[in-house]
Amino acid sequence: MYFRVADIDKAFGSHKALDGVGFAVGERDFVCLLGPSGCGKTTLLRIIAGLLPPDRGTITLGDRDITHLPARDRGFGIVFQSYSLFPNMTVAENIGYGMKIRGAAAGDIANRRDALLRLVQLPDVAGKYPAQLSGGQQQRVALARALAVDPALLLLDEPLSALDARVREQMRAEIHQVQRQLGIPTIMVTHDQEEALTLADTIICMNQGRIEQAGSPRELYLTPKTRFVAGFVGASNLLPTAWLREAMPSLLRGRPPGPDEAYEACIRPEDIQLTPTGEATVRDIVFLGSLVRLDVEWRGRRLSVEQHRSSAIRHGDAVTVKVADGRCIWVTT
Amino acid sequence: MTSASLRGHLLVAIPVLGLLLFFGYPLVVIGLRSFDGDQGVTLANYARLWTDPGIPRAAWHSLLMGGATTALAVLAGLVIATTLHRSRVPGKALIRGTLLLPMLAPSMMQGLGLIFLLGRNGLIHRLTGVPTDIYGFTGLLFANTCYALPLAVIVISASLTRTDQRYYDAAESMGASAWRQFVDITLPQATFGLLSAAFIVFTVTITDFGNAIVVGGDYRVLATEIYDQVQGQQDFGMGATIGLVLLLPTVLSAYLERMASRRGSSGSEHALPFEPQRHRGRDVALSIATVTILLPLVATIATVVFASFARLWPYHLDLTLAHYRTDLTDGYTPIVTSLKVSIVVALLGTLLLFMLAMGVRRLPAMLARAVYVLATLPAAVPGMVVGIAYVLAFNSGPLSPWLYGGLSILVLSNFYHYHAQGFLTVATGLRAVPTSLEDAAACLGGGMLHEVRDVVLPFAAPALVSVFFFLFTQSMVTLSAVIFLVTPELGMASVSVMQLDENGFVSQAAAYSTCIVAVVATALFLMRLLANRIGIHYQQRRQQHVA
Repeated sequence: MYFRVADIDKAFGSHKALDGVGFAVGERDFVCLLGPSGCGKTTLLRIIAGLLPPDRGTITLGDRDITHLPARDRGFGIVFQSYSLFPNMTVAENIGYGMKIRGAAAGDIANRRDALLRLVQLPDVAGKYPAQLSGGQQQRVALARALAVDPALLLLDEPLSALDARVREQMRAEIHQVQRQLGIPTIMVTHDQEEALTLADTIICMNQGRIEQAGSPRELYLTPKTRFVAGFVGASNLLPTAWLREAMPSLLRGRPPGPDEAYEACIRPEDIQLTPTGEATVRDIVFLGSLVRLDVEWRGRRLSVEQHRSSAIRHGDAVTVKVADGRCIWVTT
Repeated sequence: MTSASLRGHLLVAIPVLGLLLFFGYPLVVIGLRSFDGDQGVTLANYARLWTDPGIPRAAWHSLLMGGATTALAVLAGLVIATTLHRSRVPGKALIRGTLLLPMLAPSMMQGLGLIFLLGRNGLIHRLTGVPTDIYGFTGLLFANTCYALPLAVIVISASLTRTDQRYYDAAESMGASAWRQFVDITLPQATFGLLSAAFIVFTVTITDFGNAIVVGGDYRVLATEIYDQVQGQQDFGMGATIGLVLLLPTVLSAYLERMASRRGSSGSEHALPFEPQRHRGRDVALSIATVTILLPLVATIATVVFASFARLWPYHLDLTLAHYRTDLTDGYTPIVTSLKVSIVVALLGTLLLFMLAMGVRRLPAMLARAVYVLATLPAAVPGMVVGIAYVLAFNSGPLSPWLYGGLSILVLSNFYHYHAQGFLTVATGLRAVPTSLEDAAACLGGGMLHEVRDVVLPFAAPALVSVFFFLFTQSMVTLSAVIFLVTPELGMASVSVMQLDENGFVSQAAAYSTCIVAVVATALFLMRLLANRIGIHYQQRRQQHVA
């Protein structure tokens, strides 16, 4: 693989921020580090960038060990949540900064800068200062600045979190397009599972300093391995073995052997089918546009169910609950 | 160890070495000296603290004076800070300028002014016939309050500027009156600022020497006791002992101040700056209060300036330049010496403090904390103690050939006397540098030089400029540390004023003070001009890039 981190440990005092983390990135891959705040994903990104030394572990780029290489010599591009443009420099100076440090000729810098500004669709802002731009524009400039040095790896630290919802979606599409177009290997940190699902080739789902599961968005959604992943990536109904044995015993057939507490069933809301009349009751319906989400009470539990908006089921209806074939996944608790 | 981290450690090593050699070492020497007797180690000096008739009383006076000044200065400071940050009173620049006055003047100038106005032969007595006597508690309280007020205003103001406008918007929409908003929002936000101000004012007051010797009269405080022991009776052991006693309250106060400022430092990064609304009653009341507080500040200084030109104050008020023909043997050379010393202190100090504050950020947490404590420790050490410690440590011993009687000892004592305040200002300034910007510069391939030039300086420059001015003005007007270090051949301006006053040449002391104020003000003005020039130069470069 093109870029690889292995066995990274990092502790802050007695708190273990990272515990034996390792993964690899292919030459054109978009990898997302996904997890809740405090899971260690930003620490990991800072270690990858060279801004923080790991306690243990190695980082390799190609066949080169870069574990102890300082950030300035790694040649990575990085974009922060807070934009972090130099406020005392114009957009042009910001983008040209890395090239200037590397001693590039003024003409080359100007050409590259103009090309990048076109790429991020901001051709007319070169002479402005960051404070004169909107958040979304600043983040585009930050992206252009990171790309200007032909980075061996592009690092994105929650680049969309500070933006408004609409701008965020637009930016998300743009990052996707730029990354595909330039084919730069990219690692993005995010706590937004939707962002990770739409952008990533590979999602690394992290929790409490460890990797819970790594795989394509499809794998993580369809076959989560742990309760944490099932709950964090997409919505799910997590049902204990004992309850399922009473309610839907047929689903136990696919269950790996082990004590009741060892595994739970993960059933996605769209994989539950409802038919009129039965012992379950619809307690609430939320309209989501193309879908409706129903809150169904059955045998002392609440189940979340998604149906097409044309569904005829109404608030208070009695219904029967059925799970689509093969759509019950067993996850470790 | 990589070369970058080696450079980082060197950055800290040089200033820390300086601190250990020119602050730690003299302090150890003075500590040892207090146990020094005719027959080896003894506690005799400490025993004398209790038996001496004057010292317990002076200690009590110092505490009482410190407490009273603190109460008065913090209250007045709160009023002025409120005027500056919570009102639409016009002329705020004028208020700020007036507050600068006591900082430009030697510390005994307020005392002199008071004596000219309210002394036994003061102007008020002369005009009204009412018997006045300002010497003693009241006069000293007054002079000290004037002297400490600017500090109080600065600290309290800092805590008021952090408040988010949205708190006031919320209170306003819930129907809270202006007074309620002050009590419920402004005061709680300022609590720790008020505490910090109180501790700082207390420390400054009990360690101040200039006012005590000019207007204290028979009201003797610890600072005057120390001076008498050392200068009058040449008893350095006893001077050192009293100095160490003076350390107790100042160390405690500095410690509490740090606790208070730590608790108070929770400003929101995205705070909306406060914009006071129109409120006539509030603004009129605050205007009157502010003018009442600031009037004496202006009056005392103005009186000194006026008196310096009067033929025989307060009997013949016709103008003359006679008092500017000073009777001092070395004339005005001490002012030149002070200028030289102050410029070197400001240049060297700003550089060393910047190195230290930069370097300390890259140290491991434990080490950084230790350096931080060492760098801020001088705040707790009174200038007179620094002065005595320097005499004891450097008048003899291995370093004395380089230091004794030279400019360098004056430079060093002044710099390390004000080290803590300078360091805190620079460290706070560096905190304004966003870490992610530094990260961005590092990731783009920038080295330490790039980082300093493109990221740190644009944000920290204001703090560095203000530290430069702070060190310069303090060195120009300070008396307490240098009083023991000047020699007949090498005098400092503030010491000359004291000598003139002690020898009864009051009008000449006024003239000399006036010269100091004029020189400091002119120097500040020129430097400001230069600083603006540089600022404009940068701006023009920016605009050229735009075009």
